[in-house]
Amino acid sequence: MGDVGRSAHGRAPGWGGLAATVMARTYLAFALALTAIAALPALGTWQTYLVLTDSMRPAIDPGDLVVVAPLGSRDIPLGRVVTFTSRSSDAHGPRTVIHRVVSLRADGAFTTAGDANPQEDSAPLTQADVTGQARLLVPWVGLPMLWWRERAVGPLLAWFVLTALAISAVVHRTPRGHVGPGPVQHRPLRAPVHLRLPRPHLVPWHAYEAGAHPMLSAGVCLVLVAAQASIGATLASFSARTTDPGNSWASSARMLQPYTSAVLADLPRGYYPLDETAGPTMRDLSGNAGRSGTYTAPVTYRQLGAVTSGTSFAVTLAGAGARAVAATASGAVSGPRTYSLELWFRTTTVAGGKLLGFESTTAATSSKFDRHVFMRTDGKLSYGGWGGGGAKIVTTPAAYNNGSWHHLVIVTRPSESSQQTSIYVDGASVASGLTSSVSAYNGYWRIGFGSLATGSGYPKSANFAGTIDNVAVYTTALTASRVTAHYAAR
Amino acid sequence: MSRPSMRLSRFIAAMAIPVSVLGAGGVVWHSSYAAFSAETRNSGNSWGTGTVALTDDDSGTARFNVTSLVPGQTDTRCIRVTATSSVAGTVKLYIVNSVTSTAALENHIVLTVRQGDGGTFASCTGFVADSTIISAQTLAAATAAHSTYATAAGSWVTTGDIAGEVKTYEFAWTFDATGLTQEQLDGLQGSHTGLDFEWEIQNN
Repeated sequence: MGDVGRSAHGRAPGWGGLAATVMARTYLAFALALTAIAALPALGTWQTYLVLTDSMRPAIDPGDLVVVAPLGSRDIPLGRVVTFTSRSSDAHGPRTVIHRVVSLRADGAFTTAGDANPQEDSAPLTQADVTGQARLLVPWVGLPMLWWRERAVGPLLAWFVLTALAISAVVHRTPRGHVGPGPVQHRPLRAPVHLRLPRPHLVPWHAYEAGAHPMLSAGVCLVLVAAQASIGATLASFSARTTDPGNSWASSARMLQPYTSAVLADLPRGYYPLDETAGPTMRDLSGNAGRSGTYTAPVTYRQLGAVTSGTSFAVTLAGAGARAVAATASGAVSGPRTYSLELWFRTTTVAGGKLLGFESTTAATSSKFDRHVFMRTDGKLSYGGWGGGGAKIVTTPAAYNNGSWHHLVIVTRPSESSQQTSIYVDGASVASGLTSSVSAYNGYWRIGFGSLATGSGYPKSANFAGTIDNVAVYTTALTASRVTAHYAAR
Repeated sequence: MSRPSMRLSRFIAAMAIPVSVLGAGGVVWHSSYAAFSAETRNSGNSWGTGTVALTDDDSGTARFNVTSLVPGQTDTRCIRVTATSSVAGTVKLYIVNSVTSTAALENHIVLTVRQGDGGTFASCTGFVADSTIISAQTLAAATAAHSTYATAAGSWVTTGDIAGEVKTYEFAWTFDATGLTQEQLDGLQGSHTGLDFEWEIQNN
């Protein structure tokens, strides 16, 4: 790097000059040595990174360079500092982060944290994310590159000037026009002709190679910065978190759809919404034990339901003995004398059929049967028609096989030797009168096909081709206002 | 003071370089040892020129604690978040610590979150939204979509004002029971679901 330089007098420099030279050499040698240490990894598999932010302080500051060795097949080192690719990207794409590995999680991944961050990093670290383990820390030497990135003109300029001064102080300190060390040569004394001795004069400091030094300085600075351009940047990214914890939503009371609520309020013996996607079990919602029933094919499930105030589905009976028998789980029950029957139906059949009744068995037909409502071939609804001669029947004046949903409720109670019965359709009473007395036997409430009397006024077959929904059986007599309330809750 | 001799000057000047190089090596060794041989960190101690903190005004209590769900039930509440950081960063919202119910109640509670200004934990009065960051997603879908900072919802860019920057988040939920049969509603009885809302700030 040249000699210590001489003054124009050819003497050794003074303490001041020596100090300047020593400081300049120290600064440049120090900086270049640090740069060399940081740049060496480029020759091998190690990687150098420039640290951009603060979260690994006090050990690592922004502007430091870290030299990172690949992890290879080794496990992630607990407690050590690693670099990894963060999954949260910014405008420039995925970032490299340098943090410390602080703990092993239950799921086998690791938790990392910046030494100066208030909290640990929220994203777990896996083997695939790690790019290497930090091995060497080269302090400060990345600062010019950091200032360049951050457009910090002041510090960058100051560093440039400092480096330029240092370079100019060490390259040479000879008067203008001379490059290289050495005093002015004395010409040997030969002839006493035109002997010219150099005139001693003081050379002002600013004459020292003012021309070449700035270019050289600029070159060195650019080389230093460019050498570091091959260095990747890494963030010691800071983070903090806050939580609103423990939000909860719980359902405690039973949540009832409006129609279900109305029906259950009157304590049905059994309530069958007929919402199933498939048989054979017909579900009961009354809450009474053992009231679930059984479907008998052919039944088409999951038809559009009758009520719209809550989602519900219906079943279509497709003839050939299709039916659903209630309370098959608990077995036959004793036939009541006071009771209410409720259901929704929709049909366009002109063949009529049995809608709901009580029979002694679960088979297609039974020896004992009564307490039934059926549709005639003309579409009117009849309740009654058992007991042989003298059978009393109540029939609706209007027909209801018009393809719309209709709400049907039969309410009956003993009246002397008969039953007093009312038929409600769509919430209003449409017919009432005396019907035959009912027999005392154990049996099953059944929807659809079953036993039925024959003759005029009866359908030829008990099969009912139509869609049925929300069947309920009560062992009480519903009042007119309750029937209206049920219909209103649809 | 006399000048040093030429020989002394040369010697001292010549020594400057190897001493500096050795010094550089020493500095690197010492810094590396200090930084990379330690196995613990000082968590959260102040680090001089930079600080970062994120707080909310919920006083540690849950925003929603619903004990008796009814179909169609709905509620709207706010939380105000304050970011105090000396460098710019981005605050995002995600969901952690979710509690799933056996009957999948979290598939029927629909959440909408808006980000804006005005309003506090006590009252949403004065809230003006500037963006909708979660739009009518079930709790289950929102939890799956926004479970980490990388996949979080919203993007509130802070400028690095050490005095604190504020944003309010409005949470609106509805228990949507359409399409549920009575049997399915019965299946939900007694079930409960839960989650934590988490905000995180990371520098850009």
